[in-house]
Amino acid sequence: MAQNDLILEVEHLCQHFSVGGGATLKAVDDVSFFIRRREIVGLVGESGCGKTTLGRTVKQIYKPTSGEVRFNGKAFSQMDKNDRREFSRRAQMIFQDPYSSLDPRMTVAEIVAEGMEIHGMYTEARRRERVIELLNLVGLSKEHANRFPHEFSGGQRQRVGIARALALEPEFLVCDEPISALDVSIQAQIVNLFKELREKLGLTYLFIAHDLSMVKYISDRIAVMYLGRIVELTTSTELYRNPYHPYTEFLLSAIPVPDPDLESGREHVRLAKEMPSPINLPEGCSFYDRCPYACEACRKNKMELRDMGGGHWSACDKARKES
Amino acid sequence: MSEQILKVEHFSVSFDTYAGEVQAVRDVSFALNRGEILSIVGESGSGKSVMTQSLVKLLPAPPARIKSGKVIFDGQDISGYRFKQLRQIKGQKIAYIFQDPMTSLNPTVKIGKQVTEGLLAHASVSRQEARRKAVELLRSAGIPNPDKRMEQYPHELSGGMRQRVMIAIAIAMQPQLLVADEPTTALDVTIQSQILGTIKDLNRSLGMAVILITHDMGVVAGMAQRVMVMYGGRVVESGAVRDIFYHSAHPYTRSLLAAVPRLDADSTAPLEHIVGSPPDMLAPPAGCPFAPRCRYAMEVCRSHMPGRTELGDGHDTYCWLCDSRAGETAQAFLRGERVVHSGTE
Repeated sequence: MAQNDLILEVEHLCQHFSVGGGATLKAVDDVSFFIRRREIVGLVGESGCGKTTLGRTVKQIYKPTSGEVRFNGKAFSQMDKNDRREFSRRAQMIFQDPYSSLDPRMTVAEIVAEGMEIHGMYTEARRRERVIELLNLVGLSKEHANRFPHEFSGGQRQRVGIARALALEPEFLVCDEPISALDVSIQAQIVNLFKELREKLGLTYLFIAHDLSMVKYISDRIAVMYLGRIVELTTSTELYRNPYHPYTEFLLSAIPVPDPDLESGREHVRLAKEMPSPINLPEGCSFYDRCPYACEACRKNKMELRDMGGGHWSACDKARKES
Repeated sequence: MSEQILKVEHFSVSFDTYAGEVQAVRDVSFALNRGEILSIVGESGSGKSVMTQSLVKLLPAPPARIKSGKVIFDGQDISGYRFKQLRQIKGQKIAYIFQDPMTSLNPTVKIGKQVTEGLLAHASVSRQEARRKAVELLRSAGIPNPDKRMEQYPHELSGGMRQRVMIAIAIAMQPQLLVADEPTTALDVTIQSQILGTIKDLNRSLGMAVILITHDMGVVAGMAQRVMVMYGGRVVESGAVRDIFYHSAHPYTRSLLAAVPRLDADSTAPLEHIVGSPPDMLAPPAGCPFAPRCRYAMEVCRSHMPGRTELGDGHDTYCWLCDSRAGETAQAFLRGERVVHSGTE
């Protein structure tokens, strides 16, 4: 694969937080993956698995403890002030809560134009035009420009958040659970908008979510995270058809299927234990004490994510059905 | 003893606000059998929570006001009951669990005390007896080490565990009806499947009827025997779970089902979404509330609310398309064809 095909490369990224008493919370621990240009990579996992922290570290909101992130081939650690500024424009973030992520005292036009002002893009007159263009692009209209966030529904607010991100002509978007706070019919609207924008603007997404059916729908590839590590990473069809990692299998079995006949015949895997505290994790596989397939070796050895063939990366293949 | 544990007739609830009267629930009628799980689905603002909470007047009045309707619980008309009489029903016979277990539990009181509180108030038991029972309840709600949990505060528990504590409190008096208002919306899918499993087990073992409010069609498919779909404060369709999923006769129900991505479906086609947003309940539309967003809407839909059409086996719909007087659009809809009606989209 040509180097310039990769928009983002993450290598051995760690984000450790000191939580007092000499304890460390390894929110992101030795994570490596890449995203191709125009690709949508989904990132799933339970709350507390580190997916938001990973997203924010990739966007350079947090400085990583160790490891490297390359954007368009350029390493973060090698970037000078101008490069960083450029990066902060080209990579944008969309947040989960459309209520708290918009300043209630700014009009929609001000919210959307703010980034362009900061980056000194366009003249003021052109910026005003851009705001209208952007609002149209995300399915809002000119009349919305002078309104305040409280006048909008959740779905419309999320559209404002998207317009704000697109204003800076980004190549890469980190979407942190952008649809979790919305109603089902509105979720579908926003997801369709994301897909449409990728076609129109050639965007690349890291799409963080915990709704696995929506993630499958939108993503090309999906990474499953558990306690700070990526445990499986493959194309979305392959992941749902043939999960290798026992945790992925468990996660998939928990999704309720909107079909009563299928659902009544389905077996939901019930694990005895809840997710352990991510502080001071034991040696060995972090899923060990919940895993139905666990053996003695799992308790001792931490498994590394590796290519099991055909671009199906997994740290474990105990749940694998086909060979 | 009648089959029906709950019967609600022509129930309407409004909120009196400065902006005017918000008609949150309009003319809702339904019945629930003993031991049955009924799922109420609908978007935010469709009136599902307001309706169920108003059954025992949980909402502060004012601003909430029950405009009309009858609530018959266990053979008695409780709609005229005053606070004291309702207290005998709340918590004992009808129990509630809500979406956010953190705000429903008192953060300064130990779990043990919060579980025993209801037992001491309603059942004439000694303190020790109540404590013993509380440990038992926590265990049956699926909490490991219940003895230890009794001494902990809510913040020491995870979201899933807190919701289990809420379930333990709710089932303490072996209620005949459990109202679970989006009990798993704030939780991870893995925890969700455990909590739903617990509710289903309790429904079977105690024969307790359950009203499960949710907007996740997957949850409905796995849990409910019957489904009631609400939109704009009204019931638009109700029926057995298979009828709703496989033979839905209301455009809103169909759109709702089509908006959920299926794990086994092709993901290249765009998801069906419902254009527009839900109606403003300050000035609800005169006709069918869904008409402005409905691709099959006809003239009559905008001006007149459709009546109930019975499709058999308890499957009811409120839609003009199912009316015998409806024309060609309706026939196409019922055949399952996709019609783009002029004037919409």
